[in-house]
Amino acid sequence: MEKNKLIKFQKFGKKNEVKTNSSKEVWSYTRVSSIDQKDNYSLLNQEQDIKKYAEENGYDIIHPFGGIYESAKEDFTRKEFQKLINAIQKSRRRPFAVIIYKMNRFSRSGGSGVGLAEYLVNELGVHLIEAISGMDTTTEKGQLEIYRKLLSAREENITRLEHTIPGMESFLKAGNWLGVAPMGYDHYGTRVHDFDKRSMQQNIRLNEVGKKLQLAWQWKSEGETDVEIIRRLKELGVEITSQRISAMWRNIFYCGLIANKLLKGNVIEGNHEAMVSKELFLKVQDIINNRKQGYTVVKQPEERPLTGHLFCSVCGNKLTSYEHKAKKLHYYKCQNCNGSCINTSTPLSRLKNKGAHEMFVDLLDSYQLDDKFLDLFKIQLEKMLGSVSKEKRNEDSLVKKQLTELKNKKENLEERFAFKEIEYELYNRLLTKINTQICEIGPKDDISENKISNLKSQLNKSVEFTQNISKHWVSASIGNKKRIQKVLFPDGLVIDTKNRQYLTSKVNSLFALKRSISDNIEDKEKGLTTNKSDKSSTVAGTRIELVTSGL
Amino acid sequence: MYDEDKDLYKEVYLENKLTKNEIRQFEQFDYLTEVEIEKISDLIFDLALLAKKIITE
Repeated sequence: MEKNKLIKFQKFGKKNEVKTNSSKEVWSYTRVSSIDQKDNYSLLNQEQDIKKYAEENGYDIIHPFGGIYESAKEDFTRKEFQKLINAIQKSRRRPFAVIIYKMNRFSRSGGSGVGLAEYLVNELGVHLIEAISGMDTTTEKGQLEIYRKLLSAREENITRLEHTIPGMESFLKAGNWLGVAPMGYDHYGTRVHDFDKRSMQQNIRLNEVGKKLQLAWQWKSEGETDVEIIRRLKELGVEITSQRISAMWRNIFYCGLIANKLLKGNVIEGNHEAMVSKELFLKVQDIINNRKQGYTVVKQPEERPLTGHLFCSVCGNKLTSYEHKAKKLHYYKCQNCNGSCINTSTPLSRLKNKGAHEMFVDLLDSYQLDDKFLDLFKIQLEKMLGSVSKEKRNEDSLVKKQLTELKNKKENLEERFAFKEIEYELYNRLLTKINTQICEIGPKDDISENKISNLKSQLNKSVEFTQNISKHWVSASIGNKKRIQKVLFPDGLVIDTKNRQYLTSKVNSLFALKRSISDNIEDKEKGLTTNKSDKSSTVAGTRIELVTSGL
Repeated sequence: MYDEDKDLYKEVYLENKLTKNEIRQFEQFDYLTEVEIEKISDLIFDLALLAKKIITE
C-alpha cells in the first residue's frame, strides 16, 4: 500500500539526464590565423581531413563553416565563428557535433574556449569532435581531454608570444611600423601581400593619394570642416569616409611618429616619411580639441549674400545687414547715413520697390563673357579638367593592368587543370577566387569614352555659366554666390538705396554688356542713367559706368 | 571659416594656368603688354576655377 502510494509521485523523481542527439548530421569549422596561410593549402587540408573523418565514421556534413582567416585569440570577434555559434543556438535541427580539424582551430582563448565548449555540449547538446585524433566530448573523459587541448592551445599562444613580442618590440624601437601602413602610403617590406612591393627592408613611402591628403591637413588647420574637406578630396579623386578622416587627424603616424601598445605608452620617431610637420599636426589637434569645447562656427547669413559686398553711394561705407525678426524681412543698411537702407528682396505688397537681390540679378543678367575671351576660357578649362583626370587615368591604367594579370592567371590555371597538374577541387576553388576578383574590378572598357563625353559636358556647362551668370547666382550656395560676386565685381558694388540702383565701380574685364543692352546704352551716350520709365528690361533701375581696365 | 585666399584647391590647379605664351598664340592679344597679358591669365584662371566649382556642386 505504502509502495503504491509512492508510485503516484514517481514522475517527480530526479534523473541524471544528458541531452543526447542520435543524429549523424554534423557541421564543420575550419580556419587559419592569417591571410598568408589562406592560400597555402592549409584550409584545404583541414577540409579534406574533416571530410575523410566524417566518411569513415558515418557522419554527414550538413553545414561547413569557416574557410577563412581569423585569429582565435578572442572568440567573439571572429565573424565566422560567431556565425557558427549563433546558427547552433538558433537551429531547430541542431547537429550531433561540430567537427574541427584540431582543437586549436576551435579556440585559443583558454578558459573562455573551455566555457564555450561546455555550453555547446551541456546546454545545447552539440558535441565537439577533433578530426585529427578522433577525440570527442561524448564521454566525460573525452570532454576533459578536449578541455585540456583547448587550454594547451592557449598555452601555445602565450609561449609563442613570449618569443615573438621581444622581436616585435625591437622592430618597433628601430622605427619600423607594425601592420598595414595607413592611407596615403605605399608599404614595401618582407610580409606585404603585393609581390611587387616585397623588399628586404621596410620602406613606407608617401604615394599620390598621400600628396592630396597633405592638402586635407592644410585645410583642416585652417578650420575647414570635415564635410567640406571630404567633398574637396572627392573632387581630386580621393574617396574617404568621415570616420576614416577623423581617425587620420588623431594618428601621429602622419607626422612621422610611431605609437604602439608594445611601446608601453612611449612614442618614437618612425623611419617613414612624414605627411605633415609636427607643428601642423599639433595645430590640427588644437582645432579638434577647441571645437569639442564649444568652438562656434560663424554662420554666414544665407538670406543676405551681398553682406560685405555693398558700399553706400553717399558715404562710401560698407553696408551691414540685419533681419527684422517680427516682420521676418532682411535688409542692407548703411550705419553711417541715417535712413540709407534697402530690403534684400522685393516685397509682395510693393513690387515697384525692387529689392537689392532682384536688382543684382538684373545687373548680372546684363553681362556675359566677352566673345573674344571665350576660346581662352575653354582652353583654360580643358587644361584644368585634364589635370584632375590625369590622376584618374593613372588609376584606370592600373585597373587594366590588374585585369590582364588576372586573366593570365585564369588561363594558366585552366591549362594546369587541363594537364592534370592540379585536382579539380583546388582548380575550382582558385577559379572562383579569380572570377570574384575580376567581378570586383568590373568592366572598365568604357572608361575613356565616358571621360571624353564627361569633359565635353563640363565644358558646355561652364560656357553656359558664363553666358547666364544671374541664373546660377540665384541657385548657388551662399559660398558660391559670394565667389561669383567677387569674380564679377572684385571691388564690390556701390548702391544708391534712395534711387534703387547699383553704381558699379569696377566690373571684371573679361565681361561685356550683352548686345541688346550695350546697344541701348550706346544710344544713350555710353553708360548714363536709365530711369524707371525707359529702362532696359534686363537692367532695371541700374546705372552702369563701364570701367576701362588696362586692356 | 573658409577663406578663399587660402584655398589650396587653387594651388592644385595653378600648374595648369594658361601661360603668357599660350595667350599670345591668339592674334587679338599679341599686341598687349606683359602686364596686361598676365592680368588676362589671372582673370581667366579665376573664372575657370569659379565655373568648375559652380558646375560640380
